[in-house]
Amino acid sequence: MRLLVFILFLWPSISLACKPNEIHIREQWIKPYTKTDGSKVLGHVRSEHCRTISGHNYFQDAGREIKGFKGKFKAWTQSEKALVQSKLDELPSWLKKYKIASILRASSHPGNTKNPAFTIPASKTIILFDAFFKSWAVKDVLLHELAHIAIWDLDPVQLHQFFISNGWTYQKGKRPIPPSKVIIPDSSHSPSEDFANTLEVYYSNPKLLKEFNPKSFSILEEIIKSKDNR
Amino acid sequence: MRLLHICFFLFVACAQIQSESDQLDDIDKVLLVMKTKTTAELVKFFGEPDEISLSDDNKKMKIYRYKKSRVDAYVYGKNRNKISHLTIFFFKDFDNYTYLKKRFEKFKWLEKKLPDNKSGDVASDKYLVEIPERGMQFEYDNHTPKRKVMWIYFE
Repeated sequence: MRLLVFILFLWPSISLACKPNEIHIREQWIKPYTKTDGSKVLGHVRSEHCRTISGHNYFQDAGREIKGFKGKFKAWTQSEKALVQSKLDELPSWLKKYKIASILRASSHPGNTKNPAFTIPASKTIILFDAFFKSWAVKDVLLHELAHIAIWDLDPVQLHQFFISNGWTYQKGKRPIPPSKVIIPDSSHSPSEDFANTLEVYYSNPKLLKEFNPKSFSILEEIIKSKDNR
Repeated sequence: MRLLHICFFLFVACAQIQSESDQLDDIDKVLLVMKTKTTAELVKFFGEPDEISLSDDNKKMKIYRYKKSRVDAYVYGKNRNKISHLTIFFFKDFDNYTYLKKRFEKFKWLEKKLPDNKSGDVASDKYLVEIPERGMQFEYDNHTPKRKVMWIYFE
């Protein structure tokens, strides 16, 4: 009985921190199946776990459906791959640790043709559109999209402090409430968007961010420092 | 000898009380605080706040902020002893949705799909969860790793 009580109280404190090169797999029900050697496996619950992203061959061509995206994919050209790879190599070291499971190529974002890219954080998937290759700031776009993945791996105390500093609040019956002044207009869409935009400005125009919100600037410095040392 | 026995009994009793208090996590503590909604109870469980700031909505409330436990308690400006509501920045390193669903499975769970941002650059499949019996509300997103919950609102 005591052991049960101990386990019950311990459970909430168990953490499952996936590494930047891993994907989190949720708890799932595995149906009964027969192995190739003929042995039968009963149906069971598989606990949540982390799965390593294997290899670096993340450029995927068209041909499969991606949960969360309804556009059509197309094949990569060698020059497009080379450009993306060279820009990924230029990213800050702590962001480069976040391995991408797949990068896909599509003509345009179904809801906004001006969007250069689209990210699915849970599967660590990035989709790049024609607008990306016409952009003058491709490195900034990649940094922004990776920020949408990295945010979910940040230290909760640091991230909470960042949102307090940027002015986000949460009230009954409402979505998270953005601050009245944001650094880029679409930051008010969501806390994740605000983080990605602020990080983008931190690298592309640090002077602007320092003037706009010196506290957020120093919190981002702390976040990056702690990630670099990990 | 009798005194020694009494001392030993008191020591064991205090240790028992201490260990039970230690076993409470931040959500347990918040739920206990929100039973009375008093700052006295808040300080009893979380200690003195790291910072007290004014809320943005016409500075009507004071926010008692706790950095490490990520608790922000909104206290009435006129009645400093009373808490209006409280948020905790949850963001734990496991599947937050599954954890909360199991933890509060005994209570009525109201879940509503939130509209997607169809022009945004991130996939989203967000839901608003309300657990009225516990005065709780939070959002989660199926397209994020571990479905991490940012703020949980308590009233």
